[in-house]
Amino acid sequence: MTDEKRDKKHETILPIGPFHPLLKEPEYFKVHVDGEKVTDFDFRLGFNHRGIEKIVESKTYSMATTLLGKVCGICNQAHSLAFSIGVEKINKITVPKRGKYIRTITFELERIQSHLLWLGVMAEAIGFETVFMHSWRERERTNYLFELMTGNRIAKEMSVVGGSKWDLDEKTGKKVLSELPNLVKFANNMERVFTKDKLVHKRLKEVGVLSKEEAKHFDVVGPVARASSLDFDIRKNSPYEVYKDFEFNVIVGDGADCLERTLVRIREIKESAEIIRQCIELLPGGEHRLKFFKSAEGKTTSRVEAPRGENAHFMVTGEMNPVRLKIRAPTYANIPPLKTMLLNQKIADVPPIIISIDPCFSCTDRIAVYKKGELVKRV
Amino acid sequence: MTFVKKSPWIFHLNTGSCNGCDIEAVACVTPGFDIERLGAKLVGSPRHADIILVTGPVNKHSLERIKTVVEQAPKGKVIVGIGACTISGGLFKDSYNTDPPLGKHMPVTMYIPGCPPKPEAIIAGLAKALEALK
Repeated sequence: MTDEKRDKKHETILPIGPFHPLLKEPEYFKVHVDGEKVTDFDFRLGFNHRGIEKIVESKTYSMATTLLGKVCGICNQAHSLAFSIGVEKINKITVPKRGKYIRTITFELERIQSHLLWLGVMAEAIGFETVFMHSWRERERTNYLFELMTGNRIAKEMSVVGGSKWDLDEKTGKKVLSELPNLVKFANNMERVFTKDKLVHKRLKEVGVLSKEEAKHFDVVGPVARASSLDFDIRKNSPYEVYKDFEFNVIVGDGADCLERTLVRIREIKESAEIIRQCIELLPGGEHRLKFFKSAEGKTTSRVEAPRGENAHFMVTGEMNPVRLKIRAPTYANIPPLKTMLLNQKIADVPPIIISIDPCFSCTDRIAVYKKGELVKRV
Repeated sequence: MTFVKKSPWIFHLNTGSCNGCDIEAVACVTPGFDIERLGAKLVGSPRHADIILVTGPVNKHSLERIKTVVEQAPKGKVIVGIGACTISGGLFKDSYNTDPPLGKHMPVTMYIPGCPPKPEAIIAGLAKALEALK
């Protein structure tokens, strides 16, 4: 709605956050409503800013990958992997193939974990508690596998500069393979629910539409872009690690609404399971990690396809520590189109629309420093 | 037959953590661990809560808001800090935007260590927090 047409007298501001049961993270959304209709939308970041880009400058490279894993607890490998790939690129390290494969296994398993988690949160947002419980139960399988592989359920820290932190023994590999059919079966089941269930369609279909042109305009990334028929996936378009060795499809949908975003993610679970299966079958022998102490000086950019979309790291390296690191998390690109999606929708549709971009604010959060009312700098 | 004297209702408060502790706290509610069978329940408002689970290194920007939320909980509440961040700041202790530990800002009854602690540890901690509620 354009500003002239708006009747500001009858507008109410509906605050969501900073501490709200809808979001597990502190974030503030300001939704302007006229009756049931959303007329404007604004958001405020900064409740989750921890200044990781500054802290990492005082850490050595082995400490940095652990710290970067804590950028986000859900997709924690995405950041340490992007950083490792960047430092390896600067130092021209040829990482052992076994290390790369093992990193890919945990990375794809993490995508499954993240999508299952998101599916549960989405189902809860539309009041479908059963799916929330079911998908979190299935998610326990992936966490169990992480515990077998790395000793931790959440903080995997599998990627280090020069390879993978842990080796994968045959027994664990077989265990991972034996769990995959269960995850695929669940994904098939959920695909059936979300394509056929009339009540789900009523809540999600044609809600929060973001057309292809708008998606291009906002440069959205990840499943949100792919649901708006933008065929873009870093794993295919500029392959990193060993993705060239595998056969897999990039899931693209043309519905451009909340339902399509859900279906794209459910189908991606199956593709990731396929990649993991190929990974374990093709797993080469040999070393899994090279020793790495000192880095050459240089600067580079590295990109990986995190569960939520493109995750880019720009880094300048020194001998012992990184000199500068800039993280561009996927949610950062996906927040601005929220306004387009939300305008003229009903209040009840606000939660599923906000959740449909899979927001992760601990990755994204930035602050701006003001002194005497003037902007000094953005961090 | 013995009866449970108190069904603790839990409110979860994120003070800027990395989501690790938060998803483990939510995992406690789901079928893998299911603390609902012990009478515990996640509630949406601090006004209904007996136990407040706090995660994260205390963010300076949201400090005032965190205090407001905690004050809303009724008297006799138990504040439980989850994770290394609430104890010492963990990995983020050198940050310019955090102000750990949590105990500096509010009376914390107990801490559950770990980065992040497993759901088993959180449940064991909650069982101990029940004693403090009596």
